[in-house]
Amino acid sequence: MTLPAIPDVALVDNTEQRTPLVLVLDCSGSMDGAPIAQLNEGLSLLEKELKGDVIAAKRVRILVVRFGGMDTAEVIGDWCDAMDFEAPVLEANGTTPTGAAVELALGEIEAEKARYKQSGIAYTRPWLFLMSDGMPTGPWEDAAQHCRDAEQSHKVAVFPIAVGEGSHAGTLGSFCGRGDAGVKRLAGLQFKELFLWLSTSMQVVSQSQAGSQVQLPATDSWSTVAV
Amino acid sequence: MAWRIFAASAKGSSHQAGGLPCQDASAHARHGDWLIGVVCDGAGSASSSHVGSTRISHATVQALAARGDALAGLDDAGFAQLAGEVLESTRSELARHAEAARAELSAFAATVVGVVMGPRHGWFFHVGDGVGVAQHEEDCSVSLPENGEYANETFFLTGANWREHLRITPISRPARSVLLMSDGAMPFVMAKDNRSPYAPFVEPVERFLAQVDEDAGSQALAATLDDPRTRQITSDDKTLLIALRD
Repeated sequence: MTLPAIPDVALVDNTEQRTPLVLVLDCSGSMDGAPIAQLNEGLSLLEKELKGDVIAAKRVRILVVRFGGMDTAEVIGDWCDAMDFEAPVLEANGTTPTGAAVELALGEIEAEKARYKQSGIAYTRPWLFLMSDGMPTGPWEDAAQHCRDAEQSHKVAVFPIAVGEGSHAGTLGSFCGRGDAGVKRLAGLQFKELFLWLSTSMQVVSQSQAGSQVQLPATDSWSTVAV
Repeated sequence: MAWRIFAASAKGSSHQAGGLPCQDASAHARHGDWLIGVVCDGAGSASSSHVGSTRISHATVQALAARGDALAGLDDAGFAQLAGEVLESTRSELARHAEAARAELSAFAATVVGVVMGPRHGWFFHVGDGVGVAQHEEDCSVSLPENGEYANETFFLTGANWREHLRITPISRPARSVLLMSDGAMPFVMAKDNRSPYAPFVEPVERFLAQVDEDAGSQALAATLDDPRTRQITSDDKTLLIALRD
């Protein structure tokens, strides 16, 4: 038997909890062609999937950092709620300044957290999603150290993704506390599956409750098994 | 001038989907014109947290009710000591239960937000998240959640350092109503700044409860917490206890 609820009650969400996500994306020359096309498709899929989840659409905050060109690391657009996110169409060319891009992302994360604190907005741990298909050009060791330190002091969760044969898991692994074991290698060009996983993970994390261990979805659909 | 007490929990959609029990629990009692209430939220990752939240809420309310005659004579320090003793003994009892069940105490992890409120004054006692609100004529006394840096981290009575996280908030004036809620109910029960309840929710609820008996009121409250609209707001369990002064 269904009992009647109390009449005329407003039920709206007054929380302002946020889950920040920074996508640090390798757009160097080696990504040109099929990889960048599929990366762009993956970003569109992420946009669509997050917009389709009412809670995640309000809570997930996205920032895209692109690296490539003439040793350029740059923010594309600005932080935005997932409901307002419009996937950029990225072009691939130039070098692989991974270190500069990660430093930029770490700075943006701390600035965003400072804005939340100032406004009294609660937030979950930010995610830094680092995707690369090649060896870094330019200095990267200090940035990797900063990134590991930030992860170890729980400032950020780091997810390095290695694309293609040119990428080096050992180098990408330097950006996270678990080293090589923390790096996922994209099987072929399964960008679609990767971004579906990312979207599902963001839905889980953005709705996680105090005291919960978050169970992330399995990565088998897009990742090769580490040996 | 006795308290009338309504309480309900609704299982969250993520717990429904995962086949998990409702991990929230509440208990309440009256002692003369004193109200005693507790809401506990079991940790999502702890396997027996629904047992923890039920045992902690009931044992704490019983122990405080057993000391009911002493409540009116306590000052703030006296109440802080009493709350510490009662929670310590509740926690020890839970530890014995865990040992008998060959489980870790942390498997029963739960937060505690409780109230002891008389005709003119009272106190909140609080470990972890959830919210307590006493509504006075003009304004509110609020016991806010304590989270870590991140919104999905909090503290539990089962934690080793629970005493560091025990917070006592005196309520120094009479209240027309008192609310206790788990963090799942907070997004729609509280206003944006968390300094007061959200009037478009709380006013119709209190108006309705004022006209019905406790059983009917609690059942209607349960149906309201289970409203499909809440699933657009949270996937967590939701518990709300409302006490009204006649």
